[in-house]
Amino acid sequence: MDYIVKTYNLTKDFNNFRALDNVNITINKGDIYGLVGENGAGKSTLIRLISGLMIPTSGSIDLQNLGGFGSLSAIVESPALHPSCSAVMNLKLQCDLLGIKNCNDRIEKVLEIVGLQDLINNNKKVKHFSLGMKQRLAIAMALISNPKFIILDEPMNGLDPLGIMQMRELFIELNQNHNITFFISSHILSELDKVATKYGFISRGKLLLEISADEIHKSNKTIEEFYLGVIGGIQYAQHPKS
Amino acid sequence: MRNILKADFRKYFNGKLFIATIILLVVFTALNAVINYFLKLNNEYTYFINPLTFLEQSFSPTQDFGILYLIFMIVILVSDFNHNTIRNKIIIGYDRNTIYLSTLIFTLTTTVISFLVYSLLNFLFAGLIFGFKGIKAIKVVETLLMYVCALIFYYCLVQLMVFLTRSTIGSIGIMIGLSFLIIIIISSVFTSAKLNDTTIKSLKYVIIFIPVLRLMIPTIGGRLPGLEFTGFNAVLSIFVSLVVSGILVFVGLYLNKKLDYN
Repeated sequence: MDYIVKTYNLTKDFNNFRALDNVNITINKGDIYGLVGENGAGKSTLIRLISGLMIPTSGSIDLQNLGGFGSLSAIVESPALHPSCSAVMNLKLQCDLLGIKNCNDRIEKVLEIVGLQDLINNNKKVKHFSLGMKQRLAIAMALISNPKFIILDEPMNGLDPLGIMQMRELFIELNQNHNITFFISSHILSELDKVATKYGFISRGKLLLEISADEIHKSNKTIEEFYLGVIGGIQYAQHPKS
Repeated sequence: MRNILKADFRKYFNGKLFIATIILLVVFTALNAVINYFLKLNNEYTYFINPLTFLEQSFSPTQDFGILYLIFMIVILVSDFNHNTIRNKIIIGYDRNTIYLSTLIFTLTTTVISFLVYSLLNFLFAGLIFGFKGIKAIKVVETLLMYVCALIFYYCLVQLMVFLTRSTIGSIGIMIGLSFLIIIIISSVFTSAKLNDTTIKSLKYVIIFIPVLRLMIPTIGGRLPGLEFTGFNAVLSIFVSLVVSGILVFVGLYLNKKLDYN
């Protein structure tokens, strides 16, 4: 299968702390790749490295199959939005950055995809939006360049149950109907279980295992049980007395 | 780069700070004109007031329009970090040099235009009140070029501080702190040292090689006798300002490549 992103011995040090240790991951085209790990495991560092926000200490990232400018979109931590602008103005600014001309039709289309069509003729400023609306607008901004690959860092954080459900349906729709590959980090395993086609388990900066969702299902274990088995085994090996 | 500039200018012209800048510009120009009118009316200090003084003082980053503009510009630049929109540029695929340089072009364009308008209006009103007698056009152009180049240096430093600290309070603190420190040092030099020919000659070279001093001198002493720059010294001053600004830009580009965006 064609990969869209591959990392080779990716390592990131912060002073004397090794946040990521020789990580090799492969994200194939069409995957919804769920990156799972405890707080401080290195998920956000890996996402920032792949997004280009951080410089690796060593190792490399192969994005050759990704395509050119605008093929990658990412929502890292909080959405990158201009709070004192409207939704449409934010999208226009994104069009400017991407060099897209006459983008009004495209703006309407992406707002419809994320369910924010009510904002097309609405000048409400983003600072007055709910978190769920901001997340959906951020995804609309990510979609405006017709990306092949979207990275999401804890996209369900702070969302209410309805917002989580809508997000999940949106990811599946975009993956299946728009051929967008996703790389999602989360510690809400039950939510990832409903969307992910492949998993990467990360702990203390090390990638412990990459496995397809099908293989987990075949093992007759829930994702939580599988994750605890992987993490627990490692933790036991490192601290046998505990 | 053109696309980033288009987005940055669209955001700026749609923002409140652009309108606030225009209001400040009009208010301070009017205030200066009114004060000058009353000075003229009461015949106070008019023996040393020269429209060129107002042209030079308009560029000061620690006075009226200058200090508020500095704060506004830092707020605008840091907002790109606070709202994570600078990350967006990297994720889309722009390289860090392009981002740094386009931000610099935006900063310098808006700053130079704002200060040119403000200084020329002040010069014009001061001239209308006190007269333009004895002021040559070449001297005005020379002065403008020297001060614009010093301003370019100052705002190259502002952007570097913003990219390093990514904090509004931090950047404002450093820039205003640095500016006032320089004013205190220059003031003590002028008040304690005997301004003989050798001292003035040495000061001239210090001012030439530290462009930020040029912006501060009018703040403390107006047009000090013997410290006027013409001909070769003016050209040297402009050249040095541009070279030092270039060095600052290279330092900024180098550091920006090494830094992580959290």
